[in-house]
Amino acid sequence: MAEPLKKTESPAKVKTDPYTEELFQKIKEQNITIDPAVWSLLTHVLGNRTYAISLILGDFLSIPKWILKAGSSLMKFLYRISGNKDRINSIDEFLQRALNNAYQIKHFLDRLREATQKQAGFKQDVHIDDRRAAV
Amino acid sequence: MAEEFKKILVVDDEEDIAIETREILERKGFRVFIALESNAALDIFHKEKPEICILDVHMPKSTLDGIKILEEIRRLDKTCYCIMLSRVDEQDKIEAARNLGANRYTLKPIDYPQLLELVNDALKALEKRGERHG
Repeated sequence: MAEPLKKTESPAKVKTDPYTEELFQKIKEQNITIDPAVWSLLTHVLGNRTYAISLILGDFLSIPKWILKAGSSLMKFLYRISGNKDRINSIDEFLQRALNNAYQIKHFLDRLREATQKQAGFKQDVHIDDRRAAV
Repeated sequence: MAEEFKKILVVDDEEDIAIETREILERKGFRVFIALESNAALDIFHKEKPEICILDVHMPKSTLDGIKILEEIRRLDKTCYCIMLSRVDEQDKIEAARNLGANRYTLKPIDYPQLLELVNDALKALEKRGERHG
């Protein structure tokens, strides 16, 4: 049977920088919009790739911590005995950093959508009345 | 009851996304079928009668888009829990999905925790529905 699903923690908060904020503010103040064809292309390419990356990395990070730790220890050991002197991150640190960057892109797309689309009323996630479909 | 909730159909014309979604949900104990286009999706739906469908709304590589697939699914089955994933927030698509009996309409990209949450919510809704109908 299908087990109840556990939610994996989302990565750290998305950072924003003053330069990006300034530009978003400018877009809002000047009512700058994006042509629907350009927006469609942006979401088709960036949206789908971000979606795939975040699923793949999120899936990898859901591997039990002890396995990731054991894998990291072996990787660090092999790295050291092969003559490297620098420090190397653990597997989950690498993955988490990559995932945080995927989140930055997702967050950027959400904010760009919000800043450039003028029609009101859409929610990110619409729960439709379940009774409608139920028989 | 849980036995009835085992099958999920994922329809997405992006192969990487479909395959990864299947891997994630299979590891959670579901039987997952993927289709990269509408004809395969409807064939699988006929044969397997999944309890949950995750449908991509915009599928340029498919004959029918997610809304049309939903329409076909609803002709065959009114009870399957249908989650629509869209990359564009077009009000007319949301209305069409609502009128055709979709259960959820969510903007992509979603992430791993959100995918699990969507399926969890679907399971809860199906359980409730089961309770309602005895």
